[in-house]
Amino acid sequence: MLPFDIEYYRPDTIEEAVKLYRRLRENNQEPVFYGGGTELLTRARLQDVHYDAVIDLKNIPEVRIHGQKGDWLEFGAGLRLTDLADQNLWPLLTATADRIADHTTRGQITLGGNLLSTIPYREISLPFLLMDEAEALIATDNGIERRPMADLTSDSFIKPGEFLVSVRVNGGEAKGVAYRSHKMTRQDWIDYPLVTVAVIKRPDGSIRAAFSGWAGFPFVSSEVNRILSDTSRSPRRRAQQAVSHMPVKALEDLHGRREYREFVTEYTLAQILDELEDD
Amino acid sequence: MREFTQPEQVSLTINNEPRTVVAYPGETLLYTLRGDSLGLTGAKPGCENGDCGACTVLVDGVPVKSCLVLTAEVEDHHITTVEGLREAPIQKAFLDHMAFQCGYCTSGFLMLGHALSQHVDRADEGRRTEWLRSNICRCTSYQEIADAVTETCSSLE
Repeated sequence: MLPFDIEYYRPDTIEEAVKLYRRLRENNQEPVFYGGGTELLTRARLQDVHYDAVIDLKNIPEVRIHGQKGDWLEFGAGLRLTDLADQNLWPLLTATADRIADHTTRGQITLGGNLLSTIPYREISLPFLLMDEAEALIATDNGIERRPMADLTSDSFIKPGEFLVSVRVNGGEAKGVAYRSHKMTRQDWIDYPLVTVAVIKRPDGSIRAAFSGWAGFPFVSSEVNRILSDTSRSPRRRAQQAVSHMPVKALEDLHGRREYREFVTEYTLAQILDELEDD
Repeated sequence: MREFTQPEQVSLTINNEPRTVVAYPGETLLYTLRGDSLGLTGAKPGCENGDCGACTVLVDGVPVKSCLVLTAEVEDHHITTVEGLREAPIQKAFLDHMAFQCGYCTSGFLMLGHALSQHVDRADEGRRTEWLRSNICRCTSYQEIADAVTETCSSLE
């Protein structure tokens, strides 16, 4: 039971949802778009967030698309993380999704909910951040707009009143890479990450890495990617260099001290690079 | 569009019986199940934060933590609670393996194990371990619980 009263709406179309949000705001209400609800319900119980109305998007067909259309792999924002794993359309996405929360909760967390979470990890974004061709379809007052997934962490990626409909990536690019996705936790298997690292090796041999848990947001770094791709150095040396050239300092929090995060990230990167040498 | 702005009737199928309950828009499924109207207290409130799994029930055969679902979301869906298992193999296995101590987490684990046994084609050891990590037993009966779930899945193969 939530500690405050809310209204619940389940629109059937994108247009209905966008108009409803606008109408509720005009009535001075605080609506939120609702996917799986795991974050909104837990934060409400902690009285960490307040809203007057939830707009449940799960009944909108475009939010549940899941498949390949032409060159694109399409993933609706309302897909559960277990849906991604069950269909396994993109193995790197499955590998990352399968280490978020626990199995039952993954059956409730949605792709869109994790991508746009206020919790800093947003691990499901890592595979998308590694791709050249990855874009989000966002419902706005002006219809559907396409925005690059590379802008996910910018303030302008999604504005109040807009919601994520789906994400798509170029299927050839997404499936044409060797990959690893490792989540490292301090102690328990089910926990927030010290760091989650997703790494791809592209057909030309270059390496890209995306990180969650290191900072308050997921990120990629062209400088780090350049270092990781320099095969004139050993995997261990590249991992050391990468960690010392991160664009932001590692977090220091309850999950681990900065030095420990750096150590775990370096160790994980070296292990992944070693494995990818053989792929 | 479904609009639900005040307490009103919600139709659910619970343990294969059609039921109608009055629920608030912000009411969780856990609260509705345990309320006076239904009185299904098998689903236990533990952390009410999605961590412990004591409130696990099945929605259309899939385990969910009922503290993390609004009743309005599962309108017209099929809900199975521990009261609806009715001597399912997982229950006998729990008895045979004494897979409980205080029993508070038991109904959640039973629902998880029952759902897993219904997906027996996928219930290899890795899958079982992964599913069972969703719930917490404060008394640490994990080995006995895993044994009971393994036996149930094996017997149905």
